[in-house]
Amino acid sequence: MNEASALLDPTIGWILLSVLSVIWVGLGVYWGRKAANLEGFMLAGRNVGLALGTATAVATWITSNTTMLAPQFALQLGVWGMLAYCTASFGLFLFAPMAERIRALMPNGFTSAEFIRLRYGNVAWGIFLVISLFYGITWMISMGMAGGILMEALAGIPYVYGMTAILLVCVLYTLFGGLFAVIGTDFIQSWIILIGVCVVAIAVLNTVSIDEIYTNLERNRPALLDVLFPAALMAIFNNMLFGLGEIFHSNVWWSRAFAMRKGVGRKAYGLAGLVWLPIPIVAGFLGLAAPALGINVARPDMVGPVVAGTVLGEVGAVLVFVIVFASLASSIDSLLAATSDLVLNDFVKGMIARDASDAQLRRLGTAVIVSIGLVTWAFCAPRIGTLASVLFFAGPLVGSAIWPIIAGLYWQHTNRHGAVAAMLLGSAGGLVAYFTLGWYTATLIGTAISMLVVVSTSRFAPQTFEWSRLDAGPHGGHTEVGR
Amino acid sequence: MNRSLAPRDCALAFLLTVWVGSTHAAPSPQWDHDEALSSAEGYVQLRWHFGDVEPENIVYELQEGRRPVFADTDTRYRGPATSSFVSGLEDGISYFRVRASVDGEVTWSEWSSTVEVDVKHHDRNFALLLMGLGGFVFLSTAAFLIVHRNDPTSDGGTS
Repeated sequence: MNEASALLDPTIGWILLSVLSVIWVGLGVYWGRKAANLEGFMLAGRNVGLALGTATAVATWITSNTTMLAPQFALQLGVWGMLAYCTASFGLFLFAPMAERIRALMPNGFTSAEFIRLRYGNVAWGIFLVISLFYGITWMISMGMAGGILMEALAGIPYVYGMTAILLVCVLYTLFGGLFAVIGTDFIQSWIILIGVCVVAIAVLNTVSIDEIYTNLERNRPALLDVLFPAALMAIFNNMLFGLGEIFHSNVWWSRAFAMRKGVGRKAYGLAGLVWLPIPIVAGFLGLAAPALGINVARPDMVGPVVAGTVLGEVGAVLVFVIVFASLASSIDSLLAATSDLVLNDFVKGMIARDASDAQLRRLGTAVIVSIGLVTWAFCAPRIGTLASVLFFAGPLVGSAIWPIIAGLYWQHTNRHGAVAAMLLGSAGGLVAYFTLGWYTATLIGTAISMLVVVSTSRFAPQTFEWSRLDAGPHGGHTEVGR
Repeated sequence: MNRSLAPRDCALAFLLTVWVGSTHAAPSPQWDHDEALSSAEGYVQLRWHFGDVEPENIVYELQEGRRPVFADTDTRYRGPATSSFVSGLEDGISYFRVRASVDGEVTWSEWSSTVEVDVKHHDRNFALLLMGLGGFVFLSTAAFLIVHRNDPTSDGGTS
């Protein structure tokens, strides 16, 4: 297959893009009717049940990276690469008990940054906001760029049109429906992704046997089967800790914890981990099967779609288009909602418009969502290739936030200066490792340094904290207006 | 068909070759990157092109050898793509070359120059050390959350 040739006819691509766009925006408008007030809009009325809670966690965690990067990981790092990617599910498993505690400690909470401010003070809050917004915005930019690139590669839709369409659709239905629409569409998207990935994997297995795949790898790409593949060994826990850092710190996951009904969070996140775990294995399998299928991989990030298109023809290409659209939309909408919550709650409501009414805040929320969409579009439009890779810098930053968060949630004597130092030193150390050792060590080093700092400062210089301060009023201590 | 050439034909062919060689670049695909590549992960992205304007029905053949003379050669790819991602390489030097055909694989261009990919994986002991550190950090985090999972919210656990 030529690198430049698309899997689908552009006309079919445009039809699919139009149909999917109309469906998602329509659902956003429909679910938007439920969001009667600000709390309904931001946190879906704090009444999300087990099925929707599980589905939204699964769909959000299945990004375009899961369907594109898992096969790439397998192709680059072999069997261990595939397994390394699926370890990201441990983030969901371990967040399960945290979700319940977050809800219990902060029954009126809105964001993860709010927790950091109440628990550790303004300095830690500022550092945490930088980490969280850097991660959120770069993730969204990388998703927007991936959307444009994939639409172009799959269906020949020009990059700017594809990227603009997917951002516009997500902005529109998040705008109309808030977290209600995000969670509702996530439920449908998670089913589309799960069924689609399984269909492609079954088709591959009907084309080439496991024995053939193994024999081909053993002969032509032996390192991919090496159980002591050095780069893969280093990547396993690095990837696992990156996943933990992403979930533990990001408001995407905290907002869902606040939105779920009492007693639902633990079960929903645990179940989501179980449902998510096999997805990268199935997707990664496509990467390992490519050599046995005689497929030339022109670009490693396209190995998944190319395998599906080769095995299932045009039907496979349509399936991949729908899966990719669903996985991109389910992540972009969640990031959009969570990042706008962060900006609205921690900046606008907390510092600029403290006396704003519920209706005024809703209008400001709309402006924030549109602004974030526009900023993302402006960064995506020039298609600067290196921009997407900036997301990987976020690994050590989010890794350095793991221990300040868990120690802050469970230890009464965690030292707040230690938490600040842990985030700063962990981030710095991880970035040094990124440039000196490789990307697959950065999060690991960052988390290790952060853990050491938090544990030692809390052990040798403990500070007492009253848990009741975390429930410091409807707006987490910033202001009393609104809900 | 096999026929022997007359001395006059050989002389003409020689002169033609010298003339073509002196006035044009060699008629073979060109690499878009250095001819000496290195990798610590066993994978490499190869890219090439053939002339300024690529013919529509062009076919490339990419070969890999473990020796520079390509005595033990595998054809890695045959088709129209102008790049190939090669992974799973073990320690040592692998050699790659590519050629092109524009007439349905009847005649082929000269082979390109040879790309040498020097693979030297990270030290295994160092990798195991980092894996051990990663395992310790992860297990500590997991154990922490499991131990404290039912802590009361009024006066949670302490260090």
